[in-house]
Amino acid sequence: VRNLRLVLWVAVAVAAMIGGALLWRQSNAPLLKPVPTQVSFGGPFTLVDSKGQPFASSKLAGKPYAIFFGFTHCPDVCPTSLFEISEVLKAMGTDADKVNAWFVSVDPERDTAAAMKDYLSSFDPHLKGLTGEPAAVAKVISAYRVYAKKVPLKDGDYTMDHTALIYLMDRDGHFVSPFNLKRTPEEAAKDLKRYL
Amino acid sequence: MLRPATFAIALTLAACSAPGPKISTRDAWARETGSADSAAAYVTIENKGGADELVGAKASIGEAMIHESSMDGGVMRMRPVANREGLSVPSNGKLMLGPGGTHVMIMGLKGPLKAGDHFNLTLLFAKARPHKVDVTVKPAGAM
Repeated sequence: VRNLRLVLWVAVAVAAMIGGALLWRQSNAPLLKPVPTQVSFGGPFTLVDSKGQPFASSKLAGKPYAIFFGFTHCPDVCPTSLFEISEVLKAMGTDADKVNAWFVSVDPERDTAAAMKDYLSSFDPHLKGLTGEPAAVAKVISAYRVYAKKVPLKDGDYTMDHTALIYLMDRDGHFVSPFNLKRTPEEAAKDLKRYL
Repeated sequence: MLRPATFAIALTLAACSAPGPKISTRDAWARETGSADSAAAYVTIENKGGADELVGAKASIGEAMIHESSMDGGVMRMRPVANREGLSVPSNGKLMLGPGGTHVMIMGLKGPLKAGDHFNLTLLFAKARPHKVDVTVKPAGAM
């Protein structure tokens, strides 16, 4: 029994050391570099902004941006994400002008430019919507390796299963990492500011 | 030899005296809608009595269903909580319907919901009587 107890205490000590090391690493996390990938991630596109004007991805250059996908007939999850991102943008203060946040529709059939504008009007003004012709949207969805699938509900209505990750892209348009919102807006803002 | 019989009687008595659920609700709200004809409503259900189950909902403004959002490998899905047993409202406990999880989905809205509006929602339980809730509509950016 004594031996077993000793072994257990050693195990606890080792676990504590590993935990401590992990915590230490997190708090001193280096600036993440773009992930070198074999497959391309992102890429050029032309969509339509919420004013109904064509929007070319070349306009994204020079500022880091967050890009994520959703749809306006999404009553639960999308507003929750939009709320959380709005909080981060607010926490950035004036630095929020130096980043962009793009909400791209996975449901271009229903998401007109006007619907996107209306949907985003209650969130932080730095959040901008992009939609477009189904083929153009499909191209972006595939470029960002996003999963989006129509799921029928009752009476001909439908919802969309979709990737809900937020992709953080650097100033040169390279993918950095998924952006973590499961922390305080202040912490997330501090992290985002490192990429300015 | 009498023990099993005594036990059975005791069980029966216990079952008879099990208290019924005592349901109350608070913080019922929904988000303002734009052009979409569907909305999500949230509410906290408290139970100061015996265990019960939430089995459905009815709304004056559209067709209400209990839906659940779930995240799996970065993919968000929303599905009706149907063909399943109801959602547990534990004895002396609560069931919280909140953003990003289980919620009342209201479809086929007759008109948009505006912040400040109110509407009636009736929660249906396995045991307790239908419970009427006054839902407050908050701005779309609310949490």
